[in-house]
Amino acid sequence: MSMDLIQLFKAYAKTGIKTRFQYHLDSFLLSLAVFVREASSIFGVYFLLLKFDTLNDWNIKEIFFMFSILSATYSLFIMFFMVFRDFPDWIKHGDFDRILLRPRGIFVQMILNGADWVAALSHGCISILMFILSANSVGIRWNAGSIFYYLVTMISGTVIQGAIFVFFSAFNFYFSKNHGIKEFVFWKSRRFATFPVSIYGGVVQNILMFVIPFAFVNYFPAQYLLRKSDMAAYPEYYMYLSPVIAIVGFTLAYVFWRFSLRYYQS
Amino acid sequence: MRRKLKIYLPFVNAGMQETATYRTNWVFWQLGNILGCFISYFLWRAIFLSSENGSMNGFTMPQMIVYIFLMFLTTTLINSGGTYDIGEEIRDGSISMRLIKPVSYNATFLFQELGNKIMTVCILIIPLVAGVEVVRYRFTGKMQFHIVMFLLYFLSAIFAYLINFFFNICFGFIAFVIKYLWGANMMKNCIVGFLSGQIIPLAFLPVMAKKILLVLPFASLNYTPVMIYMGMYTGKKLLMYLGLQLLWVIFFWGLSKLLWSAAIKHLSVQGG
Repeated sequence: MSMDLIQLFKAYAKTGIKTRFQYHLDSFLLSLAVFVREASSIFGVYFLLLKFDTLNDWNIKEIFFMFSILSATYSLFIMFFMVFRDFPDWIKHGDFDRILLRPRGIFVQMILNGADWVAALSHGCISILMFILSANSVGIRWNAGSIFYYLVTMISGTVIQGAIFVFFSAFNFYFSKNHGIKEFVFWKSRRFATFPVSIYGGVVQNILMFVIPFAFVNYFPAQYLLRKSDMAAYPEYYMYLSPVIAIVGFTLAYVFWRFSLRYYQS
Repeated sequence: MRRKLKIYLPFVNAGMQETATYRTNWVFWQLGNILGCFISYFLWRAIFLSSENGSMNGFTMPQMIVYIFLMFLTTTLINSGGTYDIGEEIRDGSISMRLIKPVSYNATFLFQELGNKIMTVCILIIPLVAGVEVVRYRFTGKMQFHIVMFLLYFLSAIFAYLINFFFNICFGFIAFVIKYLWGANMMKNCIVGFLSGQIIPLAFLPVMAKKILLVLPFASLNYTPVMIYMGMYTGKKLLMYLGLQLLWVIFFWGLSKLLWSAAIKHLSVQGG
């Protein structure tokens, strides 16, 4: 069964990459553009920390490292959950009906289909670049334990972001258009995760931990590996909570999505 | 003049209605941007808290707050979508229609955007300026709003808008080379955004970079109006930067005309 899924994913990926990279110059420019957009936000931080050394005890390398976790998980997220971003269009153009008719699980098909390869490539490149710039100079001892923790972080970070998107896309079954809301909730809250959560005010921190849990995508996992002093403000076990948040969050989002599917009208 | 006004007034109206139709998207888009402002606010708060100095590169915390929110307001005010529209026309060939229509295309477009701007000004400018002034008052205990400075800011923002308008039209002509402008346009916006101080004030960049950027058209876009509002540019300096803005307006206006006539030649060759 699982071999079968991998085969299916491969087939989807192949056609996906072929369509997305059909126009060489355009897709190159597009990946470059996403790359530049992401880089420009982190570049600004670079210039600031040239002057001020640290931000709540985090130096520029450490912020790079935290950012690399965010972009890596985001890149993986794009490969598996992008359909949920464009979901209103899927419903509008009838692509969703096509999926309903096929002899496979609806959810599985959606996850395997429709990755935005151009964006995944650029976020992936940013994350690799940030990782190379930081991984060896932030005092992490890379051994079996920390590598295992890092891999778990990758998976849970991807799944947490997926859960957020699955949850919001379920609203599309009730209202056909809500591009604006998603923009508001997701893209902007992701920006908050560029910096240590500890710099924000109490309300914002709570939202980032328990409502749109980006803090568990990169901040707390980075804390486990880096041990910065601002961790003192949070319970120690938060550093181990990411996988739990991922499983619970995704289950809730999935149940809600399934439940909402009943209200779907073609 | 009156006749001209009569021709273009419907376009202003159309622009206003367009904004009104997409209002939910617009509202959420702007709320998202304001959320972005709060990210910057917290970032700077953390930086100011961890530093002993009350002032950095001439910015105090309340000034930084003014900077962040005014930067957002200015970016919204001077935003112009010319690149896309002209790019699309080049792509599908409808640019040739411009030659036979009895109205100036640039002008219709300008007036349509004007309608959109009127809506923006009405909805955003009062709450933002009021909010910023309340913050300034709470920090300093002094009312700092200056009507002359505000009017000069507005004038400078108009210049900035015109620079952006003509610059974007010029940029749209690269559609002759690139099929889909989405990527190129986004990249341009990011680079221009960074170089015009949207992410961090130019004063925080290395001295050499700052000096160069202040002369280039980028600073004339967002940075100059905001600096004027904050009272950072006064007297001779103020006049100089306003003059520089005007110079860039003329430059990009001229360039857009030049590219346009070059484009016509290019078209006639193809159309045969």
